Amino acid sequence: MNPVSGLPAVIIDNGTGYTKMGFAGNNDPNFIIPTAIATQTSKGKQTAASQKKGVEDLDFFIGDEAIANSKTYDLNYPIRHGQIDNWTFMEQYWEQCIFKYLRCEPEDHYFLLTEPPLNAPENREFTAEIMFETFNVPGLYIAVQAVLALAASWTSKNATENLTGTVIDSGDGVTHVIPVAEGYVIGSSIKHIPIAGKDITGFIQQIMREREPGIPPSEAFEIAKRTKEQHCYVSPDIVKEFQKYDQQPETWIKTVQQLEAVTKKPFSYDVGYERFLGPEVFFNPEIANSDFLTPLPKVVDDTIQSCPIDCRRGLYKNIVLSGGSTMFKDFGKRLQRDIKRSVDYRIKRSEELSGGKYKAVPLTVQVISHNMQRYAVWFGGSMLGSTPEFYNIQCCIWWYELKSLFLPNINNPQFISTPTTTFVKYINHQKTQNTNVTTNKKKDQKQYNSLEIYKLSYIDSNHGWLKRKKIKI
Amino acid sequence: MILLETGNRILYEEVLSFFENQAKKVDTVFADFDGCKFNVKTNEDKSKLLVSISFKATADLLKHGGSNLIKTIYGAMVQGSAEPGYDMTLAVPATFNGNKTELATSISLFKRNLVSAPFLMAFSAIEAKKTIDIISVDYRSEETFYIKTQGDNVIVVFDIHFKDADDIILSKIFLQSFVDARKTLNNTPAITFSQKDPPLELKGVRGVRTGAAHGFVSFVLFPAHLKKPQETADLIQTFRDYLHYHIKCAKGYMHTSMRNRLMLSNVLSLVNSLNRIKIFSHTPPNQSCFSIAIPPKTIQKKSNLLLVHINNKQKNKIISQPLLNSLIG
Repeated sequence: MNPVSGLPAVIIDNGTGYTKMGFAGNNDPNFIIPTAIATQTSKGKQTAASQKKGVEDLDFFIGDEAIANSKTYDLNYPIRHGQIDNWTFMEQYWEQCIFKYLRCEPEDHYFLLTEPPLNAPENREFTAEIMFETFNVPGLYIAVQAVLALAASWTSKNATENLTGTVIDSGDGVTHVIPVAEGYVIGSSIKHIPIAGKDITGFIQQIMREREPGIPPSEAFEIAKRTKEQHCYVSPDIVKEFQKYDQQPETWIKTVQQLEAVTKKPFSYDVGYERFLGPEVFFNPEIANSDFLTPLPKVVDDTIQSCPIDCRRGLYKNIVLSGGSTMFKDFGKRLQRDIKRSVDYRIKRSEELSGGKYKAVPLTVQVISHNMQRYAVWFGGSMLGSTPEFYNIQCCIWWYELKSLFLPNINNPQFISTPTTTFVKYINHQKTQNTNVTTNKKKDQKQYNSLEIYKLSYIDSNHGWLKRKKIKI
Repeated sequence: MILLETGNRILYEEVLSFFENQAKKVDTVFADFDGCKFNVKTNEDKSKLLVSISFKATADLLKHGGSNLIKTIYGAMVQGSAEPGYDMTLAVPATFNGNKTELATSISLFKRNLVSAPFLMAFSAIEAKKTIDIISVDYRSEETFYIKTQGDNVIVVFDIHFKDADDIILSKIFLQSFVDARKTLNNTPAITFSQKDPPLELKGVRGVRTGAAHGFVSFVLFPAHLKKPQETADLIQTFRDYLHYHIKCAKGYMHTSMRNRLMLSNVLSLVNSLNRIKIFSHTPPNQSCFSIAIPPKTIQKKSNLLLVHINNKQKNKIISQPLLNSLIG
């Protein structure tokens, strides 16, 4: 709650495909709309609203309404590859997000926005400029998506509540593997895989097209998508799974009855092998005839191996899933098994090579699944925004003013996009009331405490001019 | 979107989804304009959806016609005592059999209906040729609106408080053009705008705030406007939010043109180049000069780095001291 107005913070997660927005403290975003804007940029077109002179800049639609109006307006996607591409459209997009969808007065709410890892400082500065100058927000926090996804995983029973871990973020377009150590993204080790939700849908569509001639072509995509969302799961072994299906087709293959959307003619189709073959694309990419052939577990392993050696154990121990394409049943289990296999093999080899002289300390590989996976980034933001500590750590208006006077840009990564160490402490404190504190945790907490003092000492000060030198680290 | 919508979209969707999926437990908190906060949750046995509102002006509004209006619209749904922390609660039964979309629409207009009450009361008083005492509704911290009857007309005065100095200026221009627009448009209400001091209509009213940050906008609604009372009430109650929305859009529009100008004039590429500059070493051979390195991206040349040595004399000329300090520090 905003200490002045008592209103919840606004959390907006602008993704390439969809924007998730809502108020802090809720479990789900209040709105999930496409990040699309329909404007009247081309000349010559006249609609009722734009005939009045001088309001052309207000005549636009966002989200689903933008797509519905794409015949008479120009459709634009202001975010490309996770980064804001067109600031004018983005500013307009936010106008309607705030005033039409969320219906809130931005002056009364604190705002939390997200940014992709490795976002340029200029982009962060532009975002802050728009939020403070146009919308007069009292406070702004720009969080790295991967860090929020890590925070969201704390709802899981198995989770360790720290900000070290590997985030596997798989949406519709692309899958990222992002290592995070102590809340800082290890930028040089991030890996992207061109396999994500839409590839699985395409693969399922392809299998069904060959086998089910009864499906009308106009509905093939929707049916493939629904099959993916409702029936797909990850199998431990494809060969055994095939045998299972062949021996007892009646228990595994499902027949779906449906009406055609336009003609209302009934048709039916079977959902069979694609139930486990779809998600298998992540683990054996070659089956989908793709150019990319490295399986996801291998990519995760490579990512962690490319990180500094002292944080690898932490990264293996806390592999966190985020995004809709990680929602398949047993996805985490299979991933964990496959990564564990290659890690164990490597350890065994090195022990052999040492001639049995050295024994490695056993290494835990743990993949964490939880209920909030689909909108993990938004949920992490909602969690963060509903703690009282949130209001102490974010970029407040005076700090923004100070920065713009003093530095050419807000380029201190320590500042806006850092994890909230105070937040970590708060959560740790809550948890320790119920569970036993291990010595390791105590050590961690101590570290956070010292960091906290350092941070608060410069954020609480209203005389930033003098304190600025303390930020150096 | 020139005019703001009157209903709350989140509320509308929450009510509809409650009827679609009744097994689901719901507890959502969200806001609306004017510092209004809603809570939608299912009760323990999921037989009811409780829609609670927390709004500073509730007491004032209920006093001035609100309680009657809410009772006629929502009837038995109004819960006797509000949920803790909220001012009013509607309980939507899961067994509701009527038109669900209509119900959702009517509930999404909860706040609209509440705020409309004093306006509708004043409008009906005019119709009945009665006069009423001045109504003041304290609806935000630092802000109040007043409703007054005068002869055949209803006068509505908004006391609008701005936190930002730029907004005061923008709103002044905006409201003055509002006043000017009356010259070209017929049948508009008479609008007057005054800053710092309250208008004469508020003479004798106690507790009126004054000061540079306060602007007073008064609308004189003629009998012609009162023929469609609900429509008029909708427009006038969203006036404050409308003003703030348009100020923000105007700022956005100005930023756009500023950005376009920057793009055209190559200034942006210069700004970006400057941002990419890294200090290469600040302990050069002699203490009076230092070098900066410009990464190859900045200049379109094959050389790895462009080293710029600046001695003390040039330094003062080229870069101002604070910028220099910030580059080093």
